[in-house]
Amino acid sequence: MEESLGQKWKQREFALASVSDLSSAPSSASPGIARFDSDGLQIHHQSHQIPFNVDPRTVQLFKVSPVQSVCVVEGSDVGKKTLYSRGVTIQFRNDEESAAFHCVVQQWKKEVNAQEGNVRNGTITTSKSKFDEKIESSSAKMYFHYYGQLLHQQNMLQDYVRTGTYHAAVLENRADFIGRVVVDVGAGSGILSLFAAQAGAKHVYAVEASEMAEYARKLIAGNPTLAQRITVIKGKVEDVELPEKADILISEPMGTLLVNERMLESYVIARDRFLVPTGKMFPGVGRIHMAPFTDEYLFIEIANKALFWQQQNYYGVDLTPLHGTAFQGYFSQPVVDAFDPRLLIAPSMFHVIDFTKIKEEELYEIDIPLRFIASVGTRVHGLACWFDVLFNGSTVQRWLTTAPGSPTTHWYQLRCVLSQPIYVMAGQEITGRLHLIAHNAQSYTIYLTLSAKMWGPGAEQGGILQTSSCKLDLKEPYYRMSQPQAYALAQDQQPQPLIQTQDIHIQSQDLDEPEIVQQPLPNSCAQIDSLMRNV
Amino acid sequence: MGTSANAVAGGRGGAPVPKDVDYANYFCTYAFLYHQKEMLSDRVRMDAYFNAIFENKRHFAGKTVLDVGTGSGILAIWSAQAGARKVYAVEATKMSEHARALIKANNLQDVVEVIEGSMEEVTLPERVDVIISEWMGYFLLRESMFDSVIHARDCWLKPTGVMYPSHARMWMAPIRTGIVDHKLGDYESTMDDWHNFVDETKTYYGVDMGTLTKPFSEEQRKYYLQTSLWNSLHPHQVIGTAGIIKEIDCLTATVADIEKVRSNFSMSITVENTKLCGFGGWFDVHFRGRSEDPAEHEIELTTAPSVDYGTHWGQQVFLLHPPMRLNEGDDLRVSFLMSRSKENHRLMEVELGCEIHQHSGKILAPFKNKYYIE
Repeated sequence: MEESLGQKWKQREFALASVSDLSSAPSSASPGIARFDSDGLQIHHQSHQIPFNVDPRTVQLFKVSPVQSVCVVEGSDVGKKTLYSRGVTIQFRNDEESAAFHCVVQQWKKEVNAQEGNVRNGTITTSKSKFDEKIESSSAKMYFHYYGQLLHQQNMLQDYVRTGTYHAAVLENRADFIGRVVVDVGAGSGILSLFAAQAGAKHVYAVEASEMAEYARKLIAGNPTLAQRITVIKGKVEDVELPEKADILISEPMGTLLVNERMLESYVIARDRFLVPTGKMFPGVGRIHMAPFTDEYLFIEIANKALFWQQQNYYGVDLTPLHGTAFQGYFSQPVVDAFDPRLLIAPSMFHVIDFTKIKEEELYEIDIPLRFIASVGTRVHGLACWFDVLFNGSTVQRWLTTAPGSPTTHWYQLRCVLSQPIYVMAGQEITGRLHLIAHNAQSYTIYLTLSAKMWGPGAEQGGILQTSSCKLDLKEPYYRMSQPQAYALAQDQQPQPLIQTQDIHIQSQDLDEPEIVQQPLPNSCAQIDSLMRNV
Repeated sequence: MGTSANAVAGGRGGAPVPKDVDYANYFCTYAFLYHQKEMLSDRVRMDAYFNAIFENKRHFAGKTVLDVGTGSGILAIWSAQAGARKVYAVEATKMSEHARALIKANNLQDVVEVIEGSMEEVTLPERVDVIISEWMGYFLLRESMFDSVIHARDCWLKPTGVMYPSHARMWMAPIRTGIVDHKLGDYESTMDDWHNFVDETKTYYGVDMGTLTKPFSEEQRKYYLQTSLWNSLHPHQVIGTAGIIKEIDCLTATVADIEKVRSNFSMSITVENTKLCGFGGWFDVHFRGRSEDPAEHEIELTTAPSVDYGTHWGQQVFLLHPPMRLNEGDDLRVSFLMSRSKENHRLMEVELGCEIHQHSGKILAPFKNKYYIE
């Protein structure tokens, strides 16, 4: 069909007596050619270098006289909300050619739309964008609603490790920004766009898909000396068009475990769509760090959650058939909190993701072989993970890290807990695999396997002594940061709870009895997912 | 899973949410065992349903039963244990698999059939004698699950069938609570934090966030002062008589009856020299059967303030800013309207107007407040 169509349309070319833009004076009319080929319909005329591209889905062709027609295409200007039309007036050499042209255009529209199979009750739907193909619409809707609220933007802006590092990285590297064009991918409140403008960018395009775009416009307008050089564009980077290429992409696409929320893919797509070949990305590189850990307290805490289901006679019902499922269910939740780095039992390793080089499809599946040497003999309860990103400026290279023991960020760290711990001795090798598979709820399924090889007597047999595996859903973590810790953190590292405190015991002024005040129990996954980052 | 918008019938109050978003927002939290555990651990809830079923076995023995939104399957299991001939347990989430496992382990798989799907989509092989469900949300109607029960009744209940529960009431009473000062303090503290944040962002990052102060304040005001709160009130906090907002007969109620709940009622202050800090809202449900086929033992499940019999529903508290000093004998004339949120039909908005007739005969200026149940 494709080839046949190409062959067919190559044969159609119409000489036009004159072509003129609707917006210009008639005196600028000049002879032209309308050419159908495999790329579609283009109208060329001598007074313009760039041909007028016609979109078959929105084109309207009106005959205003036997030899004169107006061709109108709908489009939207970058940064403007309202649709507008762009059109040309076409003068044909005779009415036969005019009739033939109209006939061909109608046929062409019909065939193009039929190929897309989107015609229903006379309406034409636009083709799905890359983002919509990958991500389930309900997940995207909740995600963008969540990040459309100021409370969550404030939470991220007040993560001073995050905001301070971006601010420093941008201003320290102002040599990279002065006079350059910047695109802010997933701008949120617009703070990074403002930093880029502060650093002397010639222009910044702030692309934001959520309702936060309106707040970003407001915030930027409230900083008028910078606002002249910033344009807020509401939409997804997969869909929007920009008036020029970017010298720099800036973004904060990191989620828990670096890759959660799948915004790195949008960042990479923005690179391919908007970045000039020699352009820079802020940040340009990310690393996922991993190390085995021991934490008896955490393990018991999780295991005990399932005790309820061990009752054999609860109102006459044996609940025990669900204990196994409940037990595995609790262990399938990765744990998000800040933990003491002394719980790590081996030096960490890392996996590098170069944002300037990686292909988007490579982020659909991430497979990391693991190998550690235990420093102490203990029970290994799972794998601890965190990330850092590099701002590779030409003046200063700066890392933003979420490592345990470093100042705590709103990303915390993530731990995958095994329902069956493994035992290791000091010096013993731990091998395994961390396998991440993306899913359409904007997150990943995590498959973790850890094994400890035989060591000491019997080692020559080369067998695997113990292996433990688990499957976790990165979409449904257990946010543990407000739980009591088994160890004391230094004061400056005390994690701040991200979630509003939901259990407050208050002594009423009017009563002797304490009241228990709680926010309504969350019934929406929108409150659970996508909790910790900016888009 | 493609998007499919629900058809919007004329006159519906709340905006329907696309089906897959509704599924993700509402149903998927019920797919987790830890949510089921929370409800199964509510003894008042469990006792009421347990007693309603086992003290009224006549309604179940040899009969067909439909359990709407079965969750872990507990009500279906009890129905079968009470002698039902057949039980259809409908569950929209993957919890249906757990329900099957539980039913099989209790040797009831020949009696109970678990059907995965939403009530509006499934087809049953027969009409039923009993519809049982635990459809109540906070303040009875949050979550709008009763819509599904109404649908089930209209499609699948025999003309002589009974509903478990059969009746429900919504209540409200004047209360005093320290929360009102606490929440105002929280709001002011949040605004102080915001002002500090604006100062710091200006000082350290050279960006003036001041233009966002007004929308931030609106966002926080709604969150702290206008959103109803879950609370477990002590009976001593109730400073007056409770008024009935709405009575529902589950056998005859329609969706139109519950989409907008409009009511005018009175409450009298019964405590001298007290402080009206807000209003507490709660519900009760009754297992009475139907007039032609009454229950042998009427069972009531109430979520009213209680020292010993609190539930996971608690009460919803609607705060009054600022509180008012009142005396015994003062009369509150309330006009109440609860409708579905424009953005999500499972959440509610409340408009509450109140005129106070003091026992001295003086009438105070009326006030009107808007609240959100989220």
